[in-house]
Amino acid sequence: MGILLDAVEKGTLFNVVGKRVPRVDAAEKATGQAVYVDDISFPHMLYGKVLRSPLAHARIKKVDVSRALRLPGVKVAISAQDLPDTRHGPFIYDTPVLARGKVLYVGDPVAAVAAVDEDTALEALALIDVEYEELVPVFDTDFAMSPEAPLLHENQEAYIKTFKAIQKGNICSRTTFIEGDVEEALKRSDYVFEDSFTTQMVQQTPIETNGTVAAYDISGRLTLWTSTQAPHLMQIRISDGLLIPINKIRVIGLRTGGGFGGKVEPKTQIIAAALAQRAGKPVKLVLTRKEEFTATSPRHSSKITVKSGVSREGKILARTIKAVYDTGAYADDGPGIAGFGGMMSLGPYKIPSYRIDSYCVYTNKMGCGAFRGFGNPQAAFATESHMDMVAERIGIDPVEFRLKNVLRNGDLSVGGIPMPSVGVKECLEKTAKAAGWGKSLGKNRGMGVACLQHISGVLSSSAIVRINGDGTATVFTGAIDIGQGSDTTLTQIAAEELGLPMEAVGIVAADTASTPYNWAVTASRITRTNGNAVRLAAADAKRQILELAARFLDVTPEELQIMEGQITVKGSPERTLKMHDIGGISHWATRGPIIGNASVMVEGHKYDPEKVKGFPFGTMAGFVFGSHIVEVEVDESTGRVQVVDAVAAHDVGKAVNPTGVEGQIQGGLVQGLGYALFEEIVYDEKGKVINDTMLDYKIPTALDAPHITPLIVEETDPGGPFGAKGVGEPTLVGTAPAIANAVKRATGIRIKDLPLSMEKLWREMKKL
Amino acid sequence: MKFAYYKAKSLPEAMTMLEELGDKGKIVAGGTDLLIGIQHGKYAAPEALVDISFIDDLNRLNVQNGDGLAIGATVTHGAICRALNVLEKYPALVEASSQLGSPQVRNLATVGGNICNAAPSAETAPALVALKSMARIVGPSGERQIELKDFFLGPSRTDLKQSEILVGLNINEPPQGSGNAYFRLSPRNALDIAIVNVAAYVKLNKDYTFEDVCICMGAVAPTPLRATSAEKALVGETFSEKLMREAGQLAKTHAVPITDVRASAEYRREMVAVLTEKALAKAYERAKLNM
Ligand SMILES: Cc1cc2nc3c(=O)[nH]c(=O)nc-3n(C[C@H](O)[C@H](O)[C@H](O)COP(=O)(O)OP(=O)(O)OC[C@H]3O[C@@H](n4cnc5c(N)ncnc54)[C@H](O)[C@@H]3O)c2cc1C
Repeated sequence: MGILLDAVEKGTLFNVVGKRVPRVDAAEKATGQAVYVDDISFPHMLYGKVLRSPLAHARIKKVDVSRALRLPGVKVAISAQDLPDTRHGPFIYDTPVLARGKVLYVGDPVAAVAAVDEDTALEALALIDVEYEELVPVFDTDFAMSPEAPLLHENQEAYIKTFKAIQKGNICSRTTFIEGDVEEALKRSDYVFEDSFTTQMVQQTPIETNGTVAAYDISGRLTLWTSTQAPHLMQIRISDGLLIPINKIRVIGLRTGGGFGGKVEPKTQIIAAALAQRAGKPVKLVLTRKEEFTATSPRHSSKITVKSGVSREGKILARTIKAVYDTGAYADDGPGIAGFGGMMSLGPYKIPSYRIDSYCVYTNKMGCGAFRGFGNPQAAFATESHMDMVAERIGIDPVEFRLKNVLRNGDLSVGGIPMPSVGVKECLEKTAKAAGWGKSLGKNRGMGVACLQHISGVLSSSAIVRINGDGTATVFTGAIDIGQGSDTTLTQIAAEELGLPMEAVGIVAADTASTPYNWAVTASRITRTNGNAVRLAAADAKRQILELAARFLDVTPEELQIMEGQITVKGSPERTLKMHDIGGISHWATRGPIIGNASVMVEGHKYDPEKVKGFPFGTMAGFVFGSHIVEVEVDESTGRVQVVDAVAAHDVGKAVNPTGVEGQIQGGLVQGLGYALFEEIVYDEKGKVINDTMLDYKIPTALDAPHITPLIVEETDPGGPFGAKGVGEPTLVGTAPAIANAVKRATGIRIKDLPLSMEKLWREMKKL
Repeated sequence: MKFAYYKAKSLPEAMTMLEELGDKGKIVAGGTDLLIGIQHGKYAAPEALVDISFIDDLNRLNVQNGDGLAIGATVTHGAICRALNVLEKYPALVEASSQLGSPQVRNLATVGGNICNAAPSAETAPALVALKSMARIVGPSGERQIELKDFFLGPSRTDLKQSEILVGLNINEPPQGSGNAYFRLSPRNALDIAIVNVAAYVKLNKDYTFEDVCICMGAVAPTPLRATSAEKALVGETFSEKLMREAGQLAKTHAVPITDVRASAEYRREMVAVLTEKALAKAYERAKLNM
């Protein structure tokens, strides 16, 4: 027993953390009791609809909503003229609530209406008169970056920026990372190889589209029930967009049917709020699937050129990257994505000198934003494809080549942040072993590998843990569970820290009126960053519990421990108090109720301004690693690729809920398969999306998913709660390059442009 | 949008309803094409729907040894899949129905609806044409039959006149020494539309030469299309891979596909050849087992 207790103290043995617990939201979701935004309804509620630009680039000469307003049943019709002259955004405040002066893509919101039902609202849209003067559209980043290109944002110097943006023309942000003397290192290299890649625009395609119900009351308080990844961030954007102070805005995050990055920045929230403000009645605004595919914030398409200098022994000595991320009409998260994609483009390898140059460029397409991986899927596709191409040219096995170059504990990340826990080697070795790397495969089959890195600690969060009158506890967190399982993992973390069984801990997630600030459910950061806040808040509560208990047990708090809801004096198990007693005493007799709280910020490391320029983030932490190996079968007559088997290992520090981690690995891998093989938003020559349905925008079905073996690697992170890091995004990142590498090994054909569609592969095979 | 909904309990009742409604009425079976089409504005909402999916007579799947197969128009694709054991002589049809949509869609969607909707890519059309189905139609002036190959006039256009109902499809039992097969190509394994689909029926002579061949291709023309020159070229010949390839090349010459977001015309044309080859080879293999 002594050894066991010791292990608990040291954090090597846990009661709740690390257990395969059922999800706390499982029953309500399985039975349909969970409440999503479209379930919300109020008496006299109105329905909102948005009038969108039919043109890709035009000056707005006139918007007149008066005819729409005269239609019976229409209560509100607004355009930019009716709203405060504001712009908002995460890094560059370039986005108006409704188009102001210009429209910048087909789908740009120009006006909005609220009416008694959806049909009336749609009818009203047709009555809004808009006069446009067409401008030359810019669809390609090469053209956008050329001096002849018209400027999309003519006034961009005046926009508020949250960082020192390096801008020029349509380049809204340029990030560079430099280390060592790259030219010299390239000269010293035995081989230098350069390859160029492109990736396509893809949409998050959550099963639930974006939607909001907004209500505005007589005291000027705005309440939103919404499908979101970030209730607190939404408060800020609404405040910036409509000039309402944050204390008057309440955002209630409901159950959210998937986000994948597409529900971080506002889509419906500010417009719904503006309509409700004028209507004096609640307004529901839910996007159609067509709007999702044409006017949200998909993943950036990119053009990436990778150059590596390599020694005869297979060590990478130098790398240069030129990456161009097409951010579309508005910057959205683009500056962060281009910067972070650049940062990730060394891969999980130790490369002594590098020069990374990453551009974020405006074009007349919908504004791109965060989507599971935040620039890393693009970077990893390019660099991990390139890794295989280099390995082949120098005649080294791709796994061996990677093993020669992988990062180790203590190595520095791009930007110089030390990484204390680096599990990439173990991930790679485990996947290679499980997949049987090197075994002979059938005809038209091939195996491909890709490694990856990501982060899981960034920015700030806070948490409250309240000890209830019966000794149970309730966690209050601003992190919303969008299906990824954070309600469960955060409950586990609090239960572990408090010494309570899982059932004795409740969780309240994401209502800005009651839960403390969290930046957003993004960046794979909730387990680590929010988990830290929750753990510290629980520790704060525990300290108060033990102080109170110590008074009654006549010992010092240090002599006490809590296990399974019992407070005992270490070494004298007969001297106990129940948590129930502490709850009761604190509520009814002495001291007052116990509340633990904590605030965290990922900070510390300062970038060298000579080496890192135009990067919109502060420091990052919780570096995670992974390796994917897939086996494909290619039909040589059609070019059709079937992924038949997949093994993926992820270094998550400590798997708080291993079942949840495996679920993420499976889900991310399959989403990556869609990115690799079929998903693509396709524009016509006028800037209109031509595949705006679930039939023609193809995400994988269950029958397209291969057999998947998820493997968990636990390289404990001293900065994470119980050693935990994150896992959400990286699970997608490795799939596309692994598939492209497998197809190469099956067919001899290297596809450098995603998606790897059957027609594309067939065309290349025909050339052989 | 609003429309009246009538549930017909018998064929005569459905006929009366349709005749009364005239051009204001529209037949609905599973609704998996129609209702979605109305919702997406592909069709104007009709004033009234007449649901024929509760008419017992149309719901039957009759397989008579020697007599062939009678498929009621409202038999679902799910029912076809579940009747696998009694349909062993009609594998092309089962292969088609089982690749349509998803289990949920297959349990609603009817064979008649798939045919009457007349999408160029309709899953079961090539299989049913290759199996030489006869369409049975009932209308104000009584019952008539036409060969299914002549039923399709263009995308969403058929030989059906106002108030006519497709009541079913009849297929003569495929004779001994024959085999049939269906292949489709689409990026996804489920819930996808065929980029190209091909069904083949072959009947062999005692000496294993081809006696009769029927090849039908989908998604490469406004209607399902017979590859007649390929069919002719095979009759009297013996199977070889080279011959199948040639048949594929001939089939290709009939195709007049379009380029769209799903595939280019060129790819579709080439894939017709590939799928024809595959379907013929499979049908031949089945015919040999059935000599
Ligand atoms: C998610 C999804 C996936 C799909 N996947 C596929 C696929 O892979 N392949 C494929 O081919 N199709 C697919 N479809 C289309 C559709 O399911 C099929 O075409 C189906 O067979 C239509 O049958 P239904 O009974 O639903 O027809 P309905 O929608 O009820 O009717 C379709 C049309 O036919 C008319 N009609 C129906 N029955 C008769 C009759 N007996 N006499 C006269 N007119 C009639 C109707 O008036 C209407 O115009 C899919 C549909 C969905 C929603």
